[in-house]
Amino acid sequence: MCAMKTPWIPVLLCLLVSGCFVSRSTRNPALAQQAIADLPRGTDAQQVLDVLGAPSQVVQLGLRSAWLYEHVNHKRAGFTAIVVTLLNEDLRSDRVWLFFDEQGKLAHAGGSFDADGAKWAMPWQDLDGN
Amino acid sequence: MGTERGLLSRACGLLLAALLASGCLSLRWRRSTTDRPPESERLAALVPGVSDLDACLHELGAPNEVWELPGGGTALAWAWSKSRSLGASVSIPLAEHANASFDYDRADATREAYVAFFDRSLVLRELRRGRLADLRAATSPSLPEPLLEPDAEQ
Repeated sequence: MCAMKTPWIPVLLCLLVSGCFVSRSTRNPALAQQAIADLPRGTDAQQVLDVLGAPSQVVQLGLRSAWLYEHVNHKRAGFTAIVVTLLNEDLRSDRVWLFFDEQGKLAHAGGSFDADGAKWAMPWQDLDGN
Repeated sequence: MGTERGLLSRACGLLLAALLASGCLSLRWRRSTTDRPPESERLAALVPGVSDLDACLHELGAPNEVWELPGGGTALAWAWSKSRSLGASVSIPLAEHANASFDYDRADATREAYVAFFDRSLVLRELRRGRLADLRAATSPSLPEPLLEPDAEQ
């Protein structure tokens, strides 16, 4: 009986594993957290450009403006077993917004650094460990 | 022994049926998560009329979106989405040139957000929760009226 079962196990495993994948894609390089933290209030917009490069987005706020620097981490895990497909996607990002005043000087800054928290998982798994 | 053999042959039959059906039947379970909502303790620390832009950035971090409000104010949105969808599709060839298919999908995707509204002095005036697209559409400056077409007869 054992000899009869054994050949089926690798076949079944091959069938189940053949439709398994994980992938990761990113948008923009990781943000230089220290360089951002070192920017003092009152820094000129041109100096910010020299240090951080071009922002991902610029929003005009009347005479003021806000610049977004963003790095996105997108992880996907999928599993297909014959007729069933399971797919999970988790996207998290690092973001820094720099707010400039009417004179083009850095007035406010805020950052969130969550991109490393993106996870590969299956749809039923808890992503936040609660 | 006989029962075991019966079970095994039933399992093989089921597997064979599933393999044969794989070309015309598919079941999908998909979950997609983008960012996370701000923590409620941090939201509770923000007081309209008192907290300013720096306090909001300190408590909630960088927003996902920023836009200008009519009247010179500023809106910041912290957004997230969590969607789950279950789907099934069946496709059956009925005749040589005809193919019947059925597709069913149930998804509940929404991009929710907390939006902080600031006045011209960058003092928090209101914190609202809702669908980001709705809140943004309701509070973005309206586009200027298109210029009237000059009268063709004149």
